Amino acid sequence: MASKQAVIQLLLLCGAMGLSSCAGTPPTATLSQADLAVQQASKSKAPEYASLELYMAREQLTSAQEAMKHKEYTQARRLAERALVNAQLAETKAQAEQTRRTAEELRQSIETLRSEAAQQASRRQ
Amino acid sequence: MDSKGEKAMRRASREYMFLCLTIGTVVGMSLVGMGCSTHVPPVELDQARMAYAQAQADPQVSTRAPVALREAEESVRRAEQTWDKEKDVREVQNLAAVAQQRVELARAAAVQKQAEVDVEQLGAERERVLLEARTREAQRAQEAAERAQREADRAYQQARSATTRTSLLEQELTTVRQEAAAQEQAAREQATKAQAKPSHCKRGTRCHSKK
Repeated sequence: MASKQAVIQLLLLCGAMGLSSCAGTPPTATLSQADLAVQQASKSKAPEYASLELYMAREQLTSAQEAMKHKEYTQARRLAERALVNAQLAETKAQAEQTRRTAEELRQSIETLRSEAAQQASRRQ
Repeated sequence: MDSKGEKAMRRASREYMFLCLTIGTVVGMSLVGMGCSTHVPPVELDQARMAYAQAQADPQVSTRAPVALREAEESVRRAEQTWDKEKDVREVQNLAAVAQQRVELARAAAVQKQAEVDVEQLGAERERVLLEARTREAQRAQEAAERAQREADRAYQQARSATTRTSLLEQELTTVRQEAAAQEQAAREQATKAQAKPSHCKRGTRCHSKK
């Protein structure tokens, strides 16, 4: 009798442990946050200037959604966290690149104006 | 003799046992230590720490993106704390990877901020260069206008002096003509007078008969 009870207890414990390893609370908030960040980055200049980071974010988000379907919530949360930071990185990198290019254009335009002025001055002399 | 030998043997065996125990303890402890040493922190954690330290040492990042840098620091710290508490390799690997990307994010934010400052300064410079060009253009136009005005003035003066000379000449001509006319008139009158009363007719009537 005593051994039977011990076996049942052990089984229950194993079951609880098994459940806790894959169950837990689904990381819905983290996933939607990552989804939003990927969408936002896709709308920015990221596809043009930070395609690698955006690609990684998308892949990780897809994998996170897959993991959610299989109720692998820990894996899903981790992937969503990675997707979120990669999407943010893609957006910031793209923004920086765009601003850097604007600065470069301004620099060139100033150069053109200056050389035009110099040409006019030399033509008058 | 016997008891002495027995005593010595007992002592030796006691010493042997002590040695065995010591060795056993050392081996056992080192085994336990080895067991613990499989729980070395993942490489990613060290990489994240180093990446953060490098970014923090970069004055561009620490001055231009302090908020993003602090977020990266928090991210590294969370990975470290999780390692200290849970020793969950996979969880810490993930957290460390996130922390590394947060460091990258701080670097990108610093580049963005620097570019923004550049755009602002270059925009102001462009305005200044444009204004200079416009000022120079206006100056040039004014100079050209002044030159044209001076030329026009000179032409007007020339025209005026020419007109004055012409009118003077005309006056002179009129005077000359009037004088000439007067002289002619006088000469004509004299001639008629001379014809009408010749000098030899003054005394007698024979002149009339000649006519």
